[in-house]
Formats: sequence, C-alpha cells, structure tokens
Amino acid sequence: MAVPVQWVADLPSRLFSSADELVTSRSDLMEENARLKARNLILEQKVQKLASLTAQNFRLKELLNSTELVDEQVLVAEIVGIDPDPFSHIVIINKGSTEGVFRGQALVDAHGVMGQVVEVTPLRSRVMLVTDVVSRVPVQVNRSGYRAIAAGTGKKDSMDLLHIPDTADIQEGDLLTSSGLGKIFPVGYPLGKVRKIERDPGEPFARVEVELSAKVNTTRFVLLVFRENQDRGTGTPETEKRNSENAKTDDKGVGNQ
Amino acid sequence: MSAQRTNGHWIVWASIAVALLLSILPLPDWVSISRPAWVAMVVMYWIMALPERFGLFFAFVSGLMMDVFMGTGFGHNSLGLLVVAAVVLALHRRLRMFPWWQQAFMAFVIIGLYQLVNLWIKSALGRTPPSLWYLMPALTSAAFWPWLSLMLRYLRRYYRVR
Repeated sequence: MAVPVQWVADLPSRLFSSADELVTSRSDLMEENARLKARNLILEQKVQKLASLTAQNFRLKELLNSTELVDEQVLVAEIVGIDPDPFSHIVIINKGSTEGVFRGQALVDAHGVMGQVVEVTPLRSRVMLVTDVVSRVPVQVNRSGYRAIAAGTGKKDSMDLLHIPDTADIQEGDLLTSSGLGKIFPVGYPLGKVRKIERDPGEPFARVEVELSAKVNTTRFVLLVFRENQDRGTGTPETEKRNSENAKTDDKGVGNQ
Repeated sequence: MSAQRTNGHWIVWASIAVALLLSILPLPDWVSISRPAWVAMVVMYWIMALPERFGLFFAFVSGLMMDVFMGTGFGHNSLGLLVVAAVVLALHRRLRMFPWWQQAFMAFVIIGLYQLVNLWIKSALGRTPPSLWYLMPALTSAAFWPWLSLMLRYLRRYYRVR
C-alpha cells in the first residue's frame, strides 16, 4: 500500500537524476566511454587469472576436504529510497519476496559488505546498512585471522570493533573480511581497513576504527547474496545479536592466550 | 443550534496525505535532520479548529498511517500523536486566542513533547540518537506553524469544513 506513495515521494529526485543524465555533454560521454573501456580491459585481464585461480582454489579446497561453496549466487537490486528518519541507516531496494529476497539476507556492493535485509514486502525490501547503530558484523583480520565484531556507530563511513584487548594482533591498515560466523554475511567479503587504533591504559579495551570499503552512501546498485546452505528464517538481527554475545566470549579466549 | 452536518472532511484527510508525503520525501541529511513534523502539525491544527469532530481517534489513525509509510513499528507514531492530541484538546480554547507568535511557541513545546515521546520509544528499541539534534524538528515546526495554520485556515473557510 505504501509503494505508490513512496514512488511519488521519490519522484523529484528521480526527475533530477534523469534530467542530469539527459543533459550530459557529448565530450563527457566520450571521456567516460574511454575510461570505462580501459577499466573493462583491466578487469578482463584480472578475470582471466581469476578462472585459473578459482579452479586452483577449488582443487586445493577439495584436497582439504572443505565442503564450502566457492561461489554465491547474486541478484542485482537498485536502491530506490531511504528511510526518512535521519538517525537510522536504512534504505529501500526494489526487490522483494517475489524475487526470493528473505529477511536476514546479506547485501554487498562492488567493494564490500554493505548491509542486511530487515523487512521484506512483495516488491520492496528494507535494508539496514552496516553503519546503523544496531548493526553488527562478525569479522576476521585477514592478516592474522583474529576474530572480532564490528559495530555500526551511526557515522556514515566507519564502524568500531568491539571488545578488542590491547594485546590483540591487529594493526592499522589491516584488512577485515566477514568471517561468516553470524550466518548472515557470507565468508570472505571485505568489510574495510583498520583506520585508527587507540590504546588507552585507562580503558578496558582498545578503540579500533574501521574505514568501510563498501561505498555505503554513494552506490545506487547493490548485490543480494544467495547461499545454498543458508538457513532461511533464522537469519534475523536477533541471531546476529546472539552471535555477537558468543564472539565476546571468543574474544576473551583469544585475549588470554 | 441543532447538531451540524459534517462537511468537507476530505480536505482534512487530503492535508494529512500531503503531510505524510512531505514527511517521507527523500532529502539531504542536513535538511532531513531538521524536517518539520508535518503530520503532527496538521493533526494539531485540525484538533484545534474542530475539536468536536477530530480528537484522539483521528490522531491515532494518522499515527498508524505514518507508521505504514515510514516503516516503523505499529503504534510508534500513534503514541506521540495521541499525546499531541490530548494536549491540544485540553488547551484548544486558549490556543485559539493566542497571537501567532505565542501559538508558534506552543507549537514548539508540543512538537518538542512529540519528539521526546518518539525518542523514548526509540531508545527503548535500542536506537539512541547521538545528540540533541532530535529536537531540531520542534524548532523548524514552530517556524513553519504560522504559515501552515494560515494556509489550513484558508482551506477550512474556503471548503467550509465543519
């Protein structure tokens, strides 16, 4: 019922952006075309390597008896609206349950983890971005394998790591990838890089700030990730919260080593 | 005088619909933070102008519609609007007598109350806004109040809403 009204509310911004597309100059287009061609070439070259690397990776994983899937299926969606509440980071996408979207589904963009679906209607879904104050992402430091929980702070481009002891093996510039332990975000997608670590002796934990790699506020197109063995229906924010509780105890375990 | 027939109530619901549209219009962040509480203001006006026709039920239904459009939990906005309606119902005789600037000040207080109720519900749900910015809509609502009430009064007289 709310869909047509939301469509009307979104109309002005849509008109502006389409007008913007219409009046782009020819030289701009040619320049962009050239740039895209160059970029495409680079990407194609990378993809060539990727095929062999995927095969190699798959063989190695087989050797290790890993049952994990290498590839996930994705569905492209467009962001068609944002939540009117300025304090919540929630966007509306144009895919719903008719396309198989489900609650708790992970959302990524071309650069990294972006958010999770919190509400599904037949044609639209609402997605909570990772930067929302109630959002948590289980992550792993790519270099050392150290596990942690990244929490949204309400800022638009960064998150904080929770409960990191001062002795944890984590450095500025470390890449953080999703660890898949929360069963919402698939394994191995980059979340961001550690921007700053503050170790204050008066505080029980270090303050670690993460710079997100996903362009959370500028992307218009996003990817919904489907996984074969994801348990539909259990992937809710509640599960996510429970997992963060578990991971807290995890953190302590690592810290004591 | 015998009981009057109702007239032109569609204009009330139309104004609520426009207010709803304005409150979900996507805006840049810095504007969005100070977006006036349009629905609450429109509800305030109609209860002040026609307290014998519009009251708590009207506020409750408007709040439910707002919840549907904003995707918040059912009853979230209703509670705040009910508080607004109760205050305006109690004060409507005085509010009508006030000069415009005093009315605007009362709008500031009442919308501030509405924002506060919203804040309570939100913090109960675990989302606490980081600063006092959530009171900004009260200020902008007060600034828009004289114009909004003038416009709605014009509409009410033109369409003889009773």
